[in-house]
Amino acid sequence: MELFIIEGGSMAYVIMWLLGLPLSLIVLLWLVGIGR
Amino acid sequence: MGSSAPDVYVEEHNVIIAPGGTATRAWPVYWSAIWIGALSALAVGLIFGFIGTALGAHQVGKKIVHLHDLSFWGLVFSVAGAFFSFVVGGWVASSIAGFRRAEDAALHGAIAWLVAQPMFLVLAAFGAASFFGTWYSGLAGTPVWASSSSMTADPNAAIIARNSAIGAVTAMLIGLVGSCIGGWLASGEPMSLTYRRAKQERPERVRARAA
Repeated sequence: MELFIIEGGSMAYVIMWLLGLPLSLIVLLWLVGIGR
Repeated sequence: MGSSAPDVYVEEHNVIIAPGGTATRAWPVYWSAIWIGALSALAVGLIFGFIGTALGAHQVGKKIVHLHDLSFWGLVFSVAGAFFSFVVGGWVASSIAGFRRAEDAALHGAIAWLVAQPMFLVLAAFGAASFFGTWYSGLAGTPVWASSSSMTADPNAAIIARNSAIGAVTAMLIGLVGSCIGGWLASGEPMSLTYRRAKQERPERVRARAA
C-alpha cells in the first residue's frame, strides 16, 4: 500500500519555470551568436 | 497552540491508496488527451509563427548561411513559440487526462510532443514548416519529387543544411522541455526539484525508525 500526499503548487515556481527557462534560453542562444 | 494561531486550520490532502504488485506499475496512457495536447501545441505554434512573421521577426524563405542571420526577434519568437506551444500542449494533455502526479503528467506532455513530431514532418514536407517560424523550416528537406539541381548549384547548401538542422533540433528540444513542464504544471504538484513526496517514505523504513 502506498500513500501519496499531494499539496498545492506554488505560483512562484510556475512563474519561475515559465519565464525563467525561455528567457535564459534566449540569453544563452544570443550569447553563442544566434540572432546577433 | 499559541494564542496567535488561527482559529480554523484547513489542510488538504489527497490520499490515493493503491495496492502493490506489478499490475500497478503500468503507466496508463490516455490517447485522446495526448492527441488534443499535440493538436493544441500545433495550433499555438502556428499562432506564434504567424505573429512572428506578421511582425517581421521571421523572414520567410530566407536561407540561414550564418547563424547570426537570424534576427534577435526571430530568436525570441522561435524560442518562445517552441517552448510555449508545447507548454500548452503538455498542459492540455495532462489536464484532460486529469493527473495529480507530476511523473504521469510530464510523461503525457512528452507523449504529446512525440505525437506532434511526425505531424511537423508531414507539414514540413508539404511546405508548411515556415509557418511555424524560421527554425522549424529546417525540418523541411528537399522533397524527393523536387529536382536537386538547384541544391547542388548553391555553394552554401551544406552550411544552410547544417544551420537548418541546428535550428530544427533546437526548436524540437525546447518543445520537449516545454511539454514536460506543461504537464508538470497541470499536475498541480509543486514545481520544485527539491520537493519530495510521501511516497518515498517506505513503510518498512518508517517502522524501522520507530522501533
